[in-house]
Amino acid sequence: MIPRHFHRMFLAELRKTLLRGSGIAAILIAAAVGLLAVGGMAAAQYLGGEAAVNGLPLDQIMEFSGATTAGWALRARNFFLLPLLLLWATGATFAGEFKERTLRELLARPVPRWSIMAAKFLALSVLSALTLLVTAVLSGGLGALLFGIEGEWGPLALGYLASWPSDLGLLSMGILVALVVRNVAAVVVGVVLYLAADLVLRLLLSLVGKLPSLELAAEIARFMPGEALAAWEGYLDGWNMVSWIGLAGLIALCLGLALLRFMRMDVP
Amino acid sequence: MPRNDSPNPAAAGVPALEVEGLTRRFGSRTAVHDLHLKVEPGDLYGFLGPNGAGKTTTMRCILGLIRRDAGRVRIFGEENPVRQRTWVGAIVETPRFHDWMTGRANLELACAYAGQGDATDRSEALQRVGLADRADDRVRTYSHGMKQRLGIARALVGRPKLLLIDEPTNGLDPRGMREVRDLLRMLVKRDGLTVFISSHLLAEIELLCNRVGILDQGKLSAEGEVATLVRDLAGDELIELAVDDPGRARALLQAVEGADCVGDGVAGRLRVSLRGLTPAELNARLVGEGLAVSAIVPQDRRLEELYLASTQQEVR
Repeated sequence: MIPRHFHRMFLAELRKTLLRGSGIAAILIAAAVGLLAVGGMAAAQYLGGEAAVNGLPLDQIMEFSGATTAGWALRARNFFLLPLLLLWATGATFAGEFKERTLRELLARPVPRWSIMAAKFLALSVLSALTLLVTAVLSGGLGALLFGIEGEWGPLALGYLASWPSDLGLLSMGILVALVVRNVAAVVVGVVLYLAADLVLRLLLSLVGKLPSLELAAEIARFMPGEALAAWEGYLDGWNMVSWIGLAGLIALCLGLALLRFMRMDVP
Repeated sequence: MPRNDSPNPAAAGVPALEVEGLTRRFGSRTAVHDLHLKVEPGDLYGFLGPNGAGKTTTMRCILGLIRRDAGRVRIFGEENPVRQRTWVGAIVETPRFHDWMTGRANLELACAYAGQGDATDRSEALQRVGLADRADDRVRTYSHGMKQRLGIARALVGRPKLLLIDEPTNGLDPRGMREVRDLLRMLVKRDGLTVFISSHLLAEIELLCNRVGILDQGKLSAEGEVATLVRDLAGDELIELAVDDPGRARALLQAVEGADCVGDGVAGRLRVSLRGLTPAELNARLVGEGLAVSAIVPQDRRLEELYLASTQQEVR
């Protein structure tokens, strides 16, 4: 049964998550990504015809608008740094609290273990949503002020929305790893190494899939976790149902296994 | 003001804490073996044992922090582990905090998870442990003793009926130790709490507790009221004897049935254990042998002797 005071648990966890070093860093970096996207676009516009890519001036190959700026910001956000920071926050919330023995103090309270995990997961989900919001508002808002409001805002908004469940997939993986390794750095390194291996394997499978009678290899690559975590990219090149089903499965599997572990683990 | 709104369990007349057949193994090592103990409401119960005896493991099992391999735990008759904890405040080992948060914020977190306690309760708890003026400082600036006191404040959040505390005066200076002892006594006397203290500090337990359980190598080797246990264990009477010729007295005592010289006391006195012989009878025997007896001083048996006798393997 859900504790009657679950909302208090969630709000307390959220406050803790946002005030912790990893939470503050995630919000600040999200803001920096938004501002850098605006700065980068402004620089590109300023250079205009002087700078060129493949012989074509920048102002001919780039579209300068608020929507484009927010689009670049989203890609930069999802590429590397924010996922790392979200993994750090996840590690601090589970592995860090286990190691510092502050998790024990929560488990001694009259609430079921699953509700503690749920409160922490929800708090991390809100942190992820806030980082998306900060990047979107800063890059989109300032971009629109500087470059105008033209552009395709609808697909971009879907891209931002779709990034949230992708983040949840990453958080779920992070929670599972955190409950096994119980070390913050190992959570970040472990998931990143796995995703790197996943990427290499998908590339290999795609290559093998081009060989006659081995097309199945390419199909397998589409169901791998790395592909699922990139579901948000659908706003750029068309939505892929397989990725979304994979993402849902990944979240369910990771959270399910993490919950089993959390319910049974000894907490010294 | 939000309070622990469960029915007052102490009124039901059931034991505050009942442990039956508790067993916990770590690999091939049995940390706690078939442990049975009972703590009545209003008790200040001392849970004694040498390091590694299984005290903290027992507390963790009671709180559900670690799994039990066998056994049952009832708190005020309740077996559901979540509902049990409604009535329990606990400090296991050294209390841990988010040290980048303030003392007050740490209490707020505990209140949120307990579902009880408002700002007034938190202020009261901080006041009670003497931390009101430092409540808004980050915990990382606190001394060890202050953290210990904040731990007690946190354990009191939600007005528990049973307090489980591991080494409550750990790291405190003598004044702090006394304050904590006074606080615990007050909680029992004024607020009707039951307190279960795990410790290896005999003097502290002797000063505080009315009942003790002694754990040795995962097994309960003695349990009961301190005075009764000490008396039952001893089965003899200990005196110190002042005589004019201790050497001759020592030789005479070897021939007296029911009296044993067990060592030297203060100021050249002899420590003598009497079984079936009264001090007056011994006095008459010694005087009859021409010795001048100037003093016979009865000696109190201490918990320490009971403890050493109950944990012999550890002492060796």
